[in-house]
Amino acid sequence: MKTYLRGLLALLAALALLTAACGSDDDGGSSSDTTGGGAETQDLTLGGPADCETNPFCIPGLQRVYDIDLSDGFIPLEAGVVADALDSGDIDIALLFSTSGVIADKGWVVLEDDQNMLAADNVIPVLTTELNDAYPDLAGVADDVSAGLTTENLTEMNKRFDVDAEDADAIATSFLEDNDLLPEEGDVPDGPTITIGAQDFGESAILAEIYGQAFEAAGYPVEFQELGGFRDIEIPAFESGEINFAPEYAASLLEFLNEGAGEATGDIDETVGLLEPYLADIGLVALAPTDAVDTNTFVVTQETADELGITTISDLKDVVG
Amino acid sequence: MSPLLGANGPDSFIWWAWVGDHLDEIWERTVQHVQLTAIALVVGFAISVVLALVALRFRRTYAPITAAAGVMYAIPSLALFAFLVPITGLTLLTAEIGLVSYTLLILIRNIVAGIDGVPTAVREAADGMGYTSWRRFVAVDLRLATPTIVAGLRIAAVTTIGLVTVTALIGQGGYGALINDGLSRSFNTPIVVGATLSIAMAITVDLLLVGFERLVTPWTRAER
Repeated sequence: MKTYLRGLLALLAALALLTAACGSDDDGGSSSDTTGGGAETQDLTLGGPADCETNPFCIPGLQRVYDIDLSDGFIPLEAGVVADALDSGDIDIALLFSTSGVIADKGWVVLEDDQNMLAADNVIPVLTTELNDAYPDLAGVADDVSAGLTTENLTEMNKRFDVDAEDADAIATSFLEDNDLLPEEGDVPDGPTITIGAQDFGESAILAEIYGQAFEAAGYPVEFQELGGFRDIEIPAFESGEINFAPEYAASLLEFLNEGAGEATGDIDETVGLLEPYLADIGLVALAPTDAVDTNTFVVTQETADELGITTISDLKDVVG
Repeated sequence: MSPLLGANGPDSFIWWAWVGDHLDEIWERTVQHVQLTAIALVVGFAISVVLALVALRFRRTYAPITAAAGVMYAIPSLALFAFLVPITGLTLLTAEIGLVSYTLLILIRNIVAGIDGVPTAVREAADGMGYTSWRRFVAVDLRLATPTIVAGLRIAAVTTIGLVTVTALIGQGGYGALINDGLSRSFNTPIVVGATLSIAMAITVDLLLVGFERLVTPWTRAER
């Protein structure tokens, strides 16, 4: 027993040292880059989920549309700590979702997308053709739910998850009940279990629960599968049959499937029209898109915006060179 | 940032009301964690015994067997899961392949070392008493090797319990699911609950194995 206590004490001491060491690591964003063209350029760090490096509306998008290269200063972070990192000054620019409740809460500045890089990222349910064929009435159930989703109520639900620490399933239940969106139990033919994949961020988990609970209420067999990652895990999971339904985002999904060709536009119907053939290629089909739009946004603190004099993404070009 | 004590809410170090509301989930994660650990240890031990017997019988195989187990032990768990997911999916099997492979090196080495450590004189005495080689192995070699084998099991158990949390990345839960949930929204409570219970489970299992060892090796106490 004594050895145990001594061991635990040593562990705690080690933890304390480690914490201290991490705490003094704040000067990580030192400017040592020599490739910048202008004399007064500055290295800015961008923090966001790991898929930012390949996401067509993140680093590759900035490069394509604005000729800004932030890849050297990119710090991959868990989705949940991006806002904290901006708050603590560990990063200069945060990649946050436009439906994130924390932006308004903190009075941060969303850099305006003045050259329209961002496209129609409406929430859109995607499922396998097989599942869609097995349940002729399933699309109707999903459409009713989709019709109730707006950017505003999605933002509100994200705030309940991120700030108030409510559970995704409880948020989904109250959304469906409050908006009278829970369907009556209907006649459901025998068929496959609907396995809904949620990507590794809160909004995806909430949306998965919203559709899943509606399907359950209608009498369908439903399971949830955490993907522990993003689209790069989700699409293979569809292909291997581990999931057959997922809440998606029209423009981002299109640009993922066309490998960043830049086809997505600001028009949702046009974007979905372009998306459909790519989905058909891999045995998927999209249902009606919702009005809820969640794009990536580049966010800085008010102090950074004032200091650097930036309000648009184009302004960023002058700063980083 | 987050006061250890004081107003209790989502920003607290631990928000007791949340813990109270989520006892079901915490219990479910505990059961998952125990299952993931137990399967890994039982399967890992079974495979290790077989490989250790092969290594003992054919000495030339010992180096390659431990080398192979050493390579598996050295693969970062994250990379292993990333590599396995396209093949075996987001399944229990994927999690267990990872967990089991990390127990092998420790267990094989300790089983072989334990049996090698049995004094030749004891073996000869058993032979002299007319023990068949199989009976000698079970009744003498294995018994005398127990402390070393249990020492290996203790390390493997504690390692596995910690490692199970990583399997949450492939949707396999355990306490790692709580930790992931907390990380995904910078919410301390599930992280603290998951980490604390995981540590508590490691200590409990370690103590149980110590107790088991004392129970099956009464002579080691009589010596002192």
